[in-house]
Amino acid sequence: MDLSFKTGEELFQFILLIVLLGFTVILFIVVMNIFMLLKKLKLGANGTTAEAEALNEGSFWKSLTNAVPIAKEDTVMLDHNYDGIRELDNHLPPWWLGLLYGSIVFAVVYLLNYHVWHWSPSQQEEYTIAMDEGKKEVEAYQAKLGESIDEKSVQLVSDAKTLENGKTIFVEKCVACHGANGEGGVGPNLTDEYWIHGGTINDIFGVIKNGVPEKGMISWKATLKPAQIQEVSNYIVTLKGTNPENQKAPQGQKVSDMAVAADSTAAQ
Amino acid sequence: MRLFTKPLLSSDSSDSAGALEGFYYDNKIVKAFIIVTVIFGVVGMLAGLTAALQLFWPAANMDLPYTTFGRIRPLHTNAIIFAFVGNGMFAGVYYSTQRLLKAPMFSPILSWIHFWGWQTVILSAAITLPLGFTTSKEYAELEWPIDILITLVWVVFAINFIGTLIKRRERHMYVAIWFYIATIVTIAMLHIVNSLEIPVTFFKSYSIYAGVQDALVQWWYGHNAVAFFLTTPILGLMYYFLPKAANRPVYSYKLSIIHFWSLIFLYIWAGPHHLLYTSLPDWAQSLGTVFSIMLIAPSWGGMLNGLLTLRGAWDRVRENPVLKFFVVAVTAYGMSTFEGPMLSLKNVNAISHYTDWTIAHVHIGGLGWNGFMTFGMFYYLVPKMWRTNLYSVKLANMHFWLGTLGIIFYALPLYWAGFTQSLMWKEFTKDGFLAYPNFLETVTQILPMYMARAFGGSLYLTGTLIMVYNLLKTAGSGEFLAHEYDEAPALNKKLKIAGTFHSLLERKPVVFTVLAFIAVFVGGAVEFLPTWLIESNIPTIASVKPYTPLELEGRDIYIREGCNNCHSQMIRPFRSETERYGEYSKSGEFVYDHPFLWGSKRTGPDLHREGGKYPDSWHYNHMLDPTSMSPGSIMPSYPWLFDDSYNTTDIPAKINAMRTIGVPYEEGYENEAVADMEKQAESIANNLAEAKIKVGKDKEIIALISYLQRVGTDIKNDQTALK
Repeated sequence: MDLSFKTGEELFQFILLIVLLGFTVILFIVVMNIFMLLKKLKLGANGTTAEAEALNEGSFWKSLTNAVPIAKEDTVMLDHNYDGIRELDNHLPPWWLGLLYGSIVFAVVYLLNYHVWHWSPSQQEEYTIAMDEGKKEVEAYQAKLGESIDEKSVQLVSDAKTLENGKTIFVEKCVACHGANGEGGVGPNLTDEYWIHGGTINDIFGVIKNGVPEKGMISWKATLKPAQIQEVSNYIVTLKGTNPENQKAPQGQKVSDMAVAADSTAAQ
Repeated sequence: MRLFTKPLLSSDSSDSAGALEGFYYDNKIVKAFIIVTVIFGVVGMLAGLTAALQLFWPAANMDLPYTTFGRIRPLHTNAIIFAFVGNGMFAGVYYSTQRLLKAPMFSPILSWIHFWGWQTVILSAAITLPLGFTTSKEYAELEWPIDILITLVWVVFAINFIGTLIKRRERHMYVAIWFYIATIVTIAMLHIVNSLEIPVTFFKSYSIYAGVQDALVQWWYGHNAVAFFLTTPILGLMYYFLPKAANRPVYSYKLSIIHFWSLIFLYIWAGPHHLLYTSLPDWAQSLGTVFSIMLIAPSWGGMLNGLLTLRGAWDRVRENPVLKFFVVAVTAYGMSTFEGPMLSLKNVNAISHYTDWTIAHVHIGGLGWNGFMTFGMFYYLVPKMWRTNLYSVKLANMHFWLGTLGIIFYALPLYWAGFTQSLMWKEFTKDGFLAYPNFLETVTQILPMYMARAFGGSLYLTGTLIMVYNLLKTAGSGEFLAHEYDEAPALNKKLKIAGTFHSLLERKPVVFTVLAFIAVFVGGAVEFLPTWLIESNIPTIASVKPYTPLELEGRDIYIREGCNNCHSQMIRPFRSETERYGEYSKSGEFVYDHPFLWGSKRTGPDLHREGGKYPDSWHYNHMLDPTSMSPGSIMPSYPWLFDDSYNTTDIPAKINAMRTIGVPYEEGYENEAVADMEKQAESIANNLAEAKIKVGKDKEIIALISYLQRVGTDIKNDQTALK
């Protein structure tokens, strides 16, 4: 998880989570604290102590609730008696009433904002904005990096580093369908001379990048970066002729080294 | 304790007027409900613990179809909601109602029909859910015959309750009774409207609503099941048991009135907050948000009236386990009713939805509010009804601390897990790639949190077991009082208590009930009618076609296995989701989805654009052993799909049922359906054969693959539909 926040909103959401977590902890601490405090209280002869009264009648509570003090509660005692339960008629706590009115005002403003004034974007508009922003960010980043690799510019390279990286990606992403050694399985054999969509580095890059959805090969462009696709494509090229066990029967056309690149758009 | 010292059938009375009538309260029905509550509580918690274990240790399902997560999770939620909280609520309602109305229940026979009827419902649920008979609609999974039974039992309960109201001796209805009335009328409405379904066979039905409408009705129900099954009746219990246990007057009658009416009126509107950023029209989503925000104050009104009633009794909280449980329960209620509205804000929901954050949230309510209220009530009731003292206050205290720690160990890891996973889902690298393109990475990241959660749950369960022991010992040391004597003056129809117009309502149960019904009716009506009547709310897409018979059968297998418990089918319009899954979901895509399968939690990835993403053989291997295609996956294997044959005999009936509820299959198509099914199955079997997989074309896996390959593909090639 990355804790660097790109927008104010992400930060806000994080803060809110912390507040909620804190709120959970604090409420439990308060409850526990009350119990600890109560544990320390020694009951006096008359059943309560000054401390206990302070807890019940402290000015803090008073200011929060606008309640009639317990000593005078007869003045707000109703003549209700339900199975021994009596009812007081205390005032509504002022902050509570404020919360009720405040939330109603919020509701009205919220609805006006989204559906009358259209100050805030609808969810489709939000999506368009986010996509545009994302696109701009990526373009800016790529402009800084220079040309990105694609199926036309992909290079046939065979340095150890590239092949090693390619193998790592292959083991991680490809073996489920193409077998541990490229012998094929759900997907075709990658070690023989037969290719369904062409066997050049450009073809292989294109198939990995865009997939062949109707045949079940998924597109990896959302998962693998162009440089990674180049690495794994180069690794796949090296599999040719390794002749592993349990090879899947050939599929597609035999591609001799001479006839390559005739159809490098097949992947499209 | 006048009730206990009074000799049975005494004629002498403390009131010299002599107009007192003697009668007996029925404690036996309360006892029966307490016993089943405790039993089903333990069972429901065990089911929950099993499900929790499976999330980091998939083998905990013992490789049986009946115990896979997709089936055990509905069992857990149903057992906890309807068997544990439900029976506990009935115990409390039967105990308090008789005393608050100064009358025995209207009909003991109806009480017992209610009791055994409800247990039959629960038993049927316990049998049918593991067998995979489910409607897939959350907390309403039970199939149509059980739905009818629930309705009948509820009507029996309602008649018994209203009969008692009519035969009461107390002129005015106390606030607890208001909450019980609201519960009875609203649950009846919710259950009936949401369960409207067309039967196909005795164990299979289709919701009459489709797609967006089904989602709206379902979450109107789902949210208000929380409101009117897990909240209002429990508030009623709080208003009886808390002042009784604390021996203090209720803090504010005014607050009771205002928070009661505002709560029931506002709650019903808030359902759409479960569907933020989905294909539900924006206006409905906004209603869900604003009504959720407005719910904070009414909910906190209940919390305040509970906590402030303890004013002057805090010193008693120290020594009384009953009050301890109540204090934490009411505090947890305050917490979750603050958190709920926060989660209804769009920008928070964008993070929290589909994650474990929601699971943490509901468990603050479930374990804290419902659980602790029930426990506190039982620690009060059992010594009272068995006329003895609690066997061990020490054990009760131990239960209290284990339970409290259990809640903390449960909730905090899941808050963190939800937040972590959500940020991982949304994170992009600078060059525009998802930082965690493999969904599984975001799951393995939070597995330690799942372990911590299971630990928290075990603590809570341990505490509950201690309670069981303590209550048994208590009952053993006392003598049960089956019929408790009390006396009260006959109903005085002229008696009026001073006060506002509301005291008038409190004398008129029928008027009160009608008004409560109107209050809960309005919100749903305003939200449903436009989506039913105004076409533009769900734009139609020409390329969206009904499922083929084989796909329909596959979809029913998807429902049976409870796939929707872990996989959503609703891609929200976020860059991170369209990048990961594909084009976001449109309301018009779901018009033939009876029922909708949007899901509410992503333990695995969204599946709405699963169709065509992988080859058939991938799905074959994946369902046989998920780890073969996704190493480290916590999804269970489904080997029985490869042995069992799908059902072809019911398919004509299914086609007919679907046509009845508006899916445009041509007349007579039911006769060709089986042939079409076999044709499609054969082509899938051939695909698999090409990948060197030999499987009979009649196996369930074939039907499931056909459905998975269809999901979300209708608009793939239709660019106009994407607008």
